[in-house]
Amino acid sequence: MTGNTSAAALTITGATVTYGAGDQRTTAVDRVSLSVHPGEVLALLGPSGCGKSSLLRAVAGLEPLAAGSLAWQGEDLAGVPVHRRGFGLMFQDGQLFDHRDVAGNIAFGLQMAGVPRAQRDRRVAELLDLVGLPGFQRRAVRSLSGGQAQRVSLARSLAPEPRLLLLDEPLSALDRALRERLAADLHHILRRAGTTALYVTHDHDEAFTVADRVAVMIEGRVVQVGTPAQLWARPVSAEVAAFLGYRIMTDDDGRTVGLSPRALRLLGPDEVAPAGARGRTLRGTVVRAGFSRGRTTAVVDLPGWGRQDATATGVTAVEPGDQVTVQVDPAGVVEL
Amino acid sequence: MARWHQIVAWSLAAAVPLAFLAVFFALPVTALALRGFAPEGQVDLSGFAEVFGRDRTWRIVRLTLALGLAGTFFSVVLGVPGAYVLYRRTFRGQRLLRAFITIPFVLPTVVVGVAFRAVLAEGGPLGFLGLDRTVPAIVLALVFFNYAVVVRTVGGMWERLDPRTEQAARALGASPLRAFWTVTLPALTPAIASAAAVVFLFCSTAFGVVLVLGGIEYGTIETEIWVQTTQFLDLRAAAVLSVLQLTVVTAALAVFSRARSRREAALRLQGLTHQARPLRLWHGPGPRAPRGRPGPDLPATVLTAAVILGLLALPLATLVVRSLRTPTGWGLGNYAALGTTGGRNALTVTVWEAAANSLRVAVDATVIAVVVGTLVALVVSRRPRNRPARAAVSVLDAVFMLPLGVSAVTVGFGFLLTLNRPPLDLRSSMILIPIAQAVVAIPMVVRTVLPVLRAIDPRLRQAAAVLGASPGRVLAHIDGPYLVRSMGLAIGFAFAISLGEFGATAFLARPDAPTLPVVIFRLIGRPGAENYGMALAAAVVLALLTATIMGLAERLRSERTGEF
Repeated sequence: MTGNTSAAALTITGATVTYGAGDQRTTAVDRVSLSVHPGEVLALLGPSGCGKSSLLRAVAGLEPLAAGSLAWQGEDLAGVPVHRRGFGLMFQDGQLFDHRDVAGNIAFGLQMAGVPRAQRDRRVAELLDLVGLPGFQRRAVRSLSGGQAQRVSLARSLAPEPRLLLLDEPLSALDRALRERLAADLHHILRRAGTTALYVTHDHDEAFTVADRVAVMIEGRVVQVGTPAQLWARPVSAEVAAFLGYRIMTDDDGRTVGLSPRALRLLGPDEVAPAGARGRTLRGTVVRAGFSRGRTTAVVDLPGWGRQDATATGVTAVEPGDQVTVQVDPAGVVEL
Repeated sequence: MARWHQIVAWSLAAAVPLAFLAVFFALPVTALALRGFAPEGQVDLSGFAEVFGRDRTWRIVRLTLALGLAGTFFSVVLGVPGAYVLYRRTFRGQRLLRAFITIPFVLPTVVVGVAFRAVLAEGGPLGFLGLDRTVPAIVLALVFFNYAVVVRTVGGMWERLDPRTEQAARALGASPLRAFWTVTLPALTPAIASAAAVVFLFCSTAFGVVLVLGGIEYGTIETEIWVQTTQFLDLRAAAVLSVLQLTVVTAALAVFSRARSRREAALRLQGLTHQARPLRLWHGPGPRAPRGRPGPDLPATVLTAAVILGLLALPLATLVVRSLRTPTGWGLGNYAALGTTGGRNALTVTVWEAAANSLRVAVDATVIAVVVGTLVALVVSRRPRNRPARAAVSVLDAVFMLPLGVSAVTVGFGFLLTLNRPPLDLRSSMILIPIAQAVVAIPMVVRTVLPVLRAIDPRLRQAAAVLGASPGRVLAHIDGPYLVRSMGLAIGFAFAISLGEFGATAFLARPDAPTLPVVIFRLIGRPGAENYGMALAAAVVLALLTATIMGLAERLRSERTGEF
């Protein structure tokens, strides 16, 4: 599961985080081993409560490890307090210091490092350009919108040039459209800054957009690590596939398969499967019909497959009770 | 993850206040208790049986509890509607009114006593009620003091309640009253319980106001301790009563602390996210009622206006007006007399000299109280990971609330017993008075600063640490600015408490260097219209001093903080 340890920037070995004591003791992170390579963005992806944030906080030094170890370039981090680790941490809700203005927030880490004022000011301006907020230096942090606050928070984390940037669901407090745009921005900003980062999220689209590699965490354990393409092509279990957005079902051959959201194409009553199309076709009865993002969608009762969602390429007039043909796209089906 | 030098620093921060409390609170109080229980060096508990055998004791205990309960009941019943009007709704002049209702809380008890007598005595505006020197008069004065505690504590929480919860209840078919009863009131209960406990504490340990309004006739445990020690020299009885009072106070404090932790937990969840709505006194004219119907806020507003005008403003106005009446007609004669030592030389110094003494003492007391109180608040606001340290922190928290409940009279008398002979002979150095006043003020400083520090999101400190700030710099850069914000109010409270402190000061002030409250009390005890007029004028001066200090303190802070 671990990559090439010698080349790794951060190495996590058998990390375990527990909360409470005695009977109330719960294990949030269970013997996790992972490594992050220099310049790489690794996403920790998992449903809420899977322990991904606890692992991140342990890396930052904010949670003690009950077992296991953390190392930076082979050097053990056990005795190193939070403020000497040289890691950056970006919170879900920014946690900007509201008694300081935007520049005061971004400069905080530099000030702690004893960087002279002129240099600080230059770096602040540079970072504001990087996150797309030039000229925001003197703004009060309370006057910022949610997206702006997160950009400032990112700039603040990047300012001291941390060896490793830890991002704890930095976009989940924002609305969907902003989240998608900022995820793409984050991808570029982190690459341009050449930052090594550990990125915690529960959103697979976000993880795939931002990260080079993704580690899927379920119930305190890392169950799969890979590039987005690898994960999507070969999820190791039904659980992982379901979390990535696959619909798990048993097909008419008795195999357990995952269907991607676009695996089944709905053909209209008069439409025939295009000549040369790959994959098999099935006949079924429309149970419910709808419309989403410019396409007709339908729940179709397919003999041997049960009721499944199918999507047309455009607008097709179908009604419940209609007999329709569904074409299976083999690229959208994974065998589990 | 704490390093050894951090442990040393925090232990020291805890040790300084603890040492202060041990020498200037535990030692004197214990010495006094020992005088009572073991007068000959042998433990002798017969004092309990003897004191509890007296009818007088039971009468006093009954009256103390009755005053505490009645004062609390009326403060809450009147204060909750006040909180609604002053914090949940908006109207012009609201900020001014909020500041005004706080004045009584910081007024010296002696001033309040004098003001209420001016209203209720024969010839006063409410003299016809015949309430002068009765229990209802004392209850009124207690409500006068504590109204602001309820309004501010409950209002502070109410202002932060998300109105959508109540709106959801209304949309589900609840009438406004039912929505209040089933949704809003339960949400406010921690704040109300917390306010009620602290008001009960203040009411049941009231000293100056009971002494002035009730005389020797109506005593509470607190005044009885004073009477037994100074008039009857019965230290044993005083010690027994002190223990009894400590029991009552500890119980009230336990309730207070439970309610408080729930309130802080609740406060963390909400910020000031919504706009308060304007008062709705009348519904607009409609087809069924062309001149408009009474609006939903009318009853609460009328009640609050009546309390503010009748209970709060009237005694203050009467005090000012009466201070302008001299034996020879209206004028500033009483104020001119403040430069003298009173009719028939009632005083040893002029009132102005006493005022200067008061200010000097108050500066010293404020410095001591703010330094010690801030250290306590800093230590208590930490959330250590290991269990023993957490337990130590909560013990420290509780210990520093004790002076709030132990009679100031006990403290003052204890000082006389312990600190006037070697190794600690401080009596002649004038420093005892500010120290005693600081002991009384420290709980208020802690309770003002602590909630602010506790409300800091721990992740802010973590964010700073991750950015490279050492624990010391986290303290300076994150806690520091919040601390400064609450400091203005803490200084104000400490100064105001010191200016008005009477219980302990009455014991410790040397005859040649009395403070303003001591002088006022002495003047009203002397015969002669000119002395009474001077007492009124001096009370106005003292009231103005405290109100000015509190006004400045309120300006220094940027937002509502603390518990009072």
